[in-house]
Amino acid sequence: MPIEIEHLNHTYKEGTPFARPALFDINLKIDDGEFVGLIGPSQAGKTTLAQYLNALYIPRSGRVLIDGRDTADRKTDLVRIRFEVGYVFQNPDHQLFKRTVGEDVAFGPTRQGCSPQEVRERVREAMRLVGLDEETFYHRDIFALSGGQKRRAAIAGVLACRPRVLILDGITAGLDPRGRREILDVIERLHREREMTVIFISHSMDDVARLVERIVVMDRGRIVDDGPAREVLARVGRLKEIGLEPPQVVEIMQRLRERGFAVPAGVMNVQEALSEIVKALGRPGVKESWN
Amino acid sequence: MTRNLTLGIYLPGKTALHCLDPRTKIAGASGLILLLILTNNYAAYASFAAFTIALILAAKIPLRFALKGLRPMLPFLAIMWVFQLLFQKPPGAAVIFSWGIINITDAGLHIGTLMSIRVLLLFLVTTILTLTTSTVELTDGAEALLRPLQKIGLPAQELALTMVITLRFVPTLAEEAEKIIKAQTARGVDFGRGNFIRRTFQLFPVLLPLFINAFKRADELITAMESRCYTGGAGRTKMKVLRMGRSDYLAWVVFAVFAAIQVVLMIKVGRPY
Repeated sequence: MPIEIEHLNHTYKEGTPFARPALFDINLKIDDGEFVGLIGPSQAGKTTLAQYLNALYIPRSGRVLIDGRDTADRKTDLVRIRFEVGYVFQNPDHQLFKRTVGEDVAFGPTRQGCSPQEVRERVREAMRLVGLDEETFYHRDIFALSGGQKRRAAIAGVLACRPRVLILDGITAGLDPRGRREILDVIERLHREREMTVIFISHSMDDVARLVERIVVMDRGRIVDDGPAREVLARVGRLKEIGLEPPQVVEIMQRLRERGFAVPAGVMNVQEALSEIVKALGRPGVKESWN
Repeated sequence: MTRNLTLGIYLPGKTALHCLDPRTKIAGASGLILLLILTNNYAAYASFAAFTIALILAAKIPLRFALKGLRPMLPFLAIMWVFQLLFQKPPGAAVIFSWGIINITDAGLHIGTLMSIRVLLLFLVTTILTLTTSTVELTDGAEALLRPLQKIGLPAQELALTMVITLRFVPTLAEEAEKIIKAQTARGVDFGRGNFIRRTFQLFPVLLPLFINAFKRADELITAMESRCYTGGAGRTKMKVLRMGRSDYLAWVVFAVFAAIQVVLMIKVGRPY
């Protein structure tokens, strides 16, 4: 289900004295099964752009095609598009409203008109995918959940609609390192096992570097860089210019290069960095299976 | 959905209306509202509307923006208007339309229409006040105006604070409602579709998180205030002391003249029914 955006412009609060242009001539194509990181500083327009991808915003200027269907076309079934392109928002408190986790996860599929058995089946699957044990959590009160568990319940609520594309908007913000790692593992598994297209919005470059294959960088309403993660991350200077903190590994490798060590650009994770540094130091005896 | 919300938003500016003493503005707005409630005929409402529009223009508020705020109220007004039309039957009123058990009187028509105009103008006047006065000014003004009542045991400072917190959180809650609506739309709730009963049920996924978050927010606000040693109004001093200036006296003259005109119009023209 490819998504295409052509010449999209957006004005925030159009028609009020607070009107402010937010997106300028956006062109973007996302193919099936891609894992895209959408990064940029605050106010870059990431969320605004993402909300066009599941027809929460309808373009007034430019075009958004989802699987060839124009979202501005009156004949397009927007509700169906929203089920096909799942969107998880940053704050789970905006989404969760039923009393128990199970009921809330069941909300989407019930809206889709699934039979009770089908709903039950999907809830079970979605909860398993996000790692919420059904026995323990199905009847658990929403208020009794921790921050990380709420996030996972919210993701399950969207997964239960069986989307083919998943948009995750800032879902690691405010989580402790462990909660963060658990969420990222879930997402990675979804992408790998379900071959789901994932669009991951964040301003944490470390999260993005760990996960994605392609990075789209936004700044002040424009796409300023787009390419394979490795290449985009190698352009450290540019990222710093718009106020993004490059991943720590990239930063370390960059500094080593500046000091004259023969390490390559575009190293993405600790494992690679270790073997490159070992290679550069010319000491093959160092244990390489460090974690 | 919340784009049309204009009440409770402050539109920073440097116009004469913005720079007036908040006491003048609050008292003036209250005076205008009092006039509105007393107004009983179309001519007086027309002159009131002209004055309101003049105020909007003087404050450099885009007229379309101010009028857009009225839009969400129209359905309610329409319902109220119909009710007045159907049920207002003061003794002696002439029936102007009759169909089955439905009898519409001229008084019903007039009362309904005048009431709708009154509510719209009331809303505009309040909007002008909040659009041109920041929340800090509003509290200071309200507190100063209520202070004489402290002698009879009215907690002026606390009341002013409550009022300002309420106003302050209208846009915040509206923004939050919009986010919640989006999160639920993304799960397939099709807002504004279907019949009246279905639409009402569609509000649950929005209202529940909204209320829960509002309570949470209130709780956080209390903690934040207490951690900064807020103990109520007793003995607090002001950084900015309010002072009436020449423009305030001028504003009072304008108000007095306008009020006089209105009163004359009310008496001379009289009720249309």
